Amino acid sequence: MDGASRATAMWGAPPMVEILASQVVSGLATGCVYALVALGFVLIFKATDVVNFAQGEFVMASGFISYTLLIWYGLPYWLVFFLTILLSGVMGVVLERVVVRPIMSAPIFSIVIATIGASTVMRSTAGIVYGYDVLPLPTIFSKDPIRLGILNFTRMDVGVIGCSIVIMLALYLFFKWTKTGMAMRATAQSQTAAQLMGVSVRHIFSLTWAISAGIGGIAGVLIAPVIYLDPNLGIIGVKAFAGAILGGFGSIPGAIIGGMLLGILENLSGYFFNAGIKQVSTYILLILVLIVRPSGLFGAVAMKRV
Amino acid sequence: MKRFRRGWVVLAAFLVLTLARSPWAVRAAEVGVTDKEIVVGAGVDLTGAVANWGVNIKAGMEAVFNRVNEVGGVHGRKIRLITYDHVYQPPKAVANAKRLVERDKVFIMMGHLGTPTTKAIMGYLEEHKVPNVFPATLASLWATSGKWHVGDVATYADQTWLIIDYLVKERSLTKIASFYQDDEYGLDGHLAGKARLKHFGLEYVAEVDYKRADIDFSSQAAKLKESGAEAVILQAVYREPPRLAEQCHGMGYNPLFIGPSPIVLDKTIELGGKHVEGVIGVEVWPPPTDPGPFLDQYRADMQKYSPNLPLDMTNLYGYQKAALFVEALQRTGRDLTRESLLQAITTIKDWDPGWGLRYSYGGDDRRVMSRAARLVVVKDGKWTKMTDWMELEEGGRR
Amino acid sequence: MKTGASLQALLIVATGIALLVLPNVVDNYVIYIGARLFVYILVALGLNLLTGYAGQVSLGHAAFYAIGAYTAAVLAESLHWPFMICVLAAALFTALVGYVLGLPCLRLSGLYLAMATLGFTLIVQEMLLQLAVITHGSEGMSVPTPTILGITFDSDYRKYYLLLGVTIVMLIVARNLVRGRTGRAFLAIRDNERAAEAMGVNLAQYKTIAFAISALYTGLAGGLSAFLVGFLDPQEFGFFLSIQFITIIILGGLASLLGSVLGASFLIILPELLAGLDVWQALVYGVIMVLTILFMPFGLSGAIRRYAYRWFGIGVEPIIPRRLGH
Repeated sequence: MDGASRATAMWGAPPMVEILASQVVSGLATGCVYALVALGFVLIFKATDVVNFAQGEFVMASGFISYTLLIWYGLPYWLVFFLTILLSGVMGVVLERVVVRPIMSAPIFSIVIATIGASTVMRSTAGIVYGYDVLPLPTIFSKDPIRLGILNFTRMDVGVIGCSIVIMLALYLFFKWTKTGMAMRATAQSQTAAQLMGVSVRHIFSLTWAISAGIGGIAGVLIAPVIYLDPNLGIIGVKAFAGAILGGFGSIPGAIIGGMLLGILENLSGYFFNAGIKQVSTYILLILVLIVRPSGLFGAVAMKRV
Repeated sequence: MKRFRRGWVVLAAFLVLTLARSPWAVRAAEVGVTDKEIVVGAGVDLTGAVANWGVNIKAGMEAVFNRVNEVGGVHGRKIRLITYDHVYQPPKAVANAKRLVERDKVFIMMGHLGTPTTKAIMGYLEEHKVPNVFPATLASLWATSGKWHVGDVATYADQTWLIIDYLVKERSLTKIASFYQDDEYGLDGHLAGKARLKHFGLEYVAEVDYKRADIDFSSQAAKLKESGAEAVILQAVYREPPRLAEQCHGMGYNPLFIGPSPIVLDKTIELGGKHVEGVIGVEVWPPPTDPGPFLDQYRADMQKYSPNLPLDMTNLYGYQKAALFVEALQRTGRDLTRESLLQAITTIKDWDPGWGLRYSYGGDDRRVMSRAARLVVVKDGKWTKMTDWMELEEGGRR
Repeated sequence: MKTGASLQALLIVATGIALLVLPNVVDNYVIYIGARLFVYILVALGLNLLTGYAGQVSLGHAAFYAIGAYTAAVLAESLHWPFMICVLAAALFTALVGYVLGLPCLRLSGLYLAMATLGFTLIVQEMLLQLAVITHGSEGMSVPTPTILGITFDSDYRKYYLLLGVTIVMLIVARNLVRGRTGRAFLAIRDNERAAEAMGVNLAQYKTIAFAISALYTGLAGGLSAFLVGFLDPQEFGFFLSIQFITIIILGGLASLLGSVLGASFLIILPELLAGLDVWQALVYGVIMVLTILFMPFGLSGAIRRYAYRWFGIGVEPIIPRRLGH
């Protein structure tokens, strides 16, 4: 008898539980990726009040960058991993300088449109260079299944969850203990005060975008092997955005938990309903949460500036 | 004030120039046909949901036309292809159709991509008597829509009938499930299968759908496993079967996977690895890697005119459409009109361009050029032929 | 000042004449594009009233558009009502839906409102597929040819004039709305809700009215569009369409009727001008969009107003709209 059946025999866990448990685990893996992308959104938002519609495209672009480095140039996997994150960070800074900085004082909506335009440009460039066919991206985590008691998952799932947690911890430590991290938190709270304390707000902005794009890069490298690369990958940004809203857009832990919750929720509703209802149920839930808590699950009630 | 008035005049002139009718329209005996040229239109998706098909179909068609033009065209006329991007959206498809028909004055619409997009322009084409030749959609609609529409190869509905006959008669399986994309793409085959199963007194034991951009099929896999299906019919493209198979195997569930032509690509094997070993597919035209004079020509043309695109079923699909069209053109002779072209198409019988598959016009109530298909299976990491070319029965959804 | 007013009037008259004459000198393709432009102007007007003037961000307008389109089509197909009745009924129904949607959205603002309305769009899109019995689901739905009082509107020529008429009427309605008490209430709400409340503006009432009117315009546009294009597919009415609508009003200029017209023109006409570029079209379009917003952060209308003031002394220095939402 294999592990799961043994577990079932021993503890009398019904097969339904086993299925649900595995749904939760794979949902958690997807959710971690949503959380990472959501994190990118929230970082930029907290620092600059801008919603970066190109966040999903950062994920897509980094996927293609790693593909290029890995397949066209044949570089070793670990090198590709780090180079991709680096290049994604550079991409973020470039976007900030070219598209956002010039209109920083304009209404927020205009900046958002600029990021939308940028995402269109990124998407069509990817389409022209790589075509619209789907490309597989190899990964070091094997997709072979593992059984642990009643849980059913793959090394890939573990890898994704593990990496995500590591990244989030690293960021937490960065913000809490390093000088730059503190400077970023200060800027997010009040640009004027930070400037008075000698913080170069412009540098902080560039850094924020670099980190956000870098996180998007990691998300891309993690998720692309699972869902295959194509220029329209950026649509994942919408889901991540929803997750961030669910958790509460103003708070980083909120965005993370929201993203993970969303992943799990999607999988569970996918099991009980058909594909269409699955998609819709998450949004219905989101709206219900917002009606009860207008700022998301963990978001602080927005102080309206009079 | 003076500056202002000048600006207005310039703007007006600009508008008039860009939007007004071209004064250089050549008068011709038939729309889209001149002494030296035939203008062919195609509305495809180049940047949207099925952009991969659009880009490749266009390249395939252009390869044929370029080659033919190099030797002087057909009966002294070169073929010019004009394509516009409709991003898989009906309103844009309508706009592009009007542009092609009324401004560019195309002779025919060929290889129009996408079912909803083609449906949206159906009435318009009929109204303007523009033949809708070999649209790039495997829906069953075109076979029975009247004289202005002609399909080319076997549809998903036909193929699913074949699959079900095979499963029930050859493999004696009764527990059959359907995994399908929940849009026009997947529904056609899915519903056709349902009807065919009824013929045998059977039903799907599970009907599991997914949305086109879905990335995770663990819930679908769980439902399929629960149903105990022995075979799962995949109304999907190459992206989903690998992932589904992977997740099913991860749960210890090993059904027979079988599906119509879109899954029969090397890409499927590339993405799925060992998980897709044993998957059965349907081919409605030979793969780009088969031997034979026609495919040799195809490989040479693609190498010459689109070296950046990999050899693929998608561009071969476009290529064979154009080859069929050129054959029809040859048969019309110099006196070329829309009517004479449609007439010539109906004369094509048992025509093999050089790859083993023969085209025959199916008749007025079945306006397609080929009803043949064969089964292939993934063996040792390659698609291998399982059966010979078989003529499919009447397909249909209801 | 007088120069400004008469110049503006002259421009409007000249544009009007050009639009009236246009269908007689161009081909059907251009006429169709013109008709599509009018539809999008209606949507832009509606969305601008809600988001530009009243400050309520909405990514839900693809849903209103879809509801308008499908309601009109279904009424025509199953009940065989005359075309204009179908469209009007659809518009009114959509307005009702808008009103109902506005209620739970009263407490939401900014990003959260955007997300809730986006969720609404996706839910409606899915409903269109699930209710396939009446909407024909993913097969798509053909829309019967419109007739009014026995006159068939089967040519693009006639549809164009019909749409032109409707658009002009709705533009005038919007203009009066904006200049009247409702418009002022909207602006007050947008700029500072607390202050508006303190001044006696009933937030709940005006916000829901804003939703309702906005939905009316968009539903009307959707209904008319259904008959213009002749075919509906649930695919079109999703996230990207909502984003397109928002793009129109921001590029055109928020809280500006002229902006609505210009933005719609940008979105409809530019891709047609770029159509010859095949695969490069989307890229060039994106680049132009980015450049436009970089050079005209207050939208096309903002730029026009600025230059009209600076070069000709027309009007006043345009008021810079404050940040919306949070």
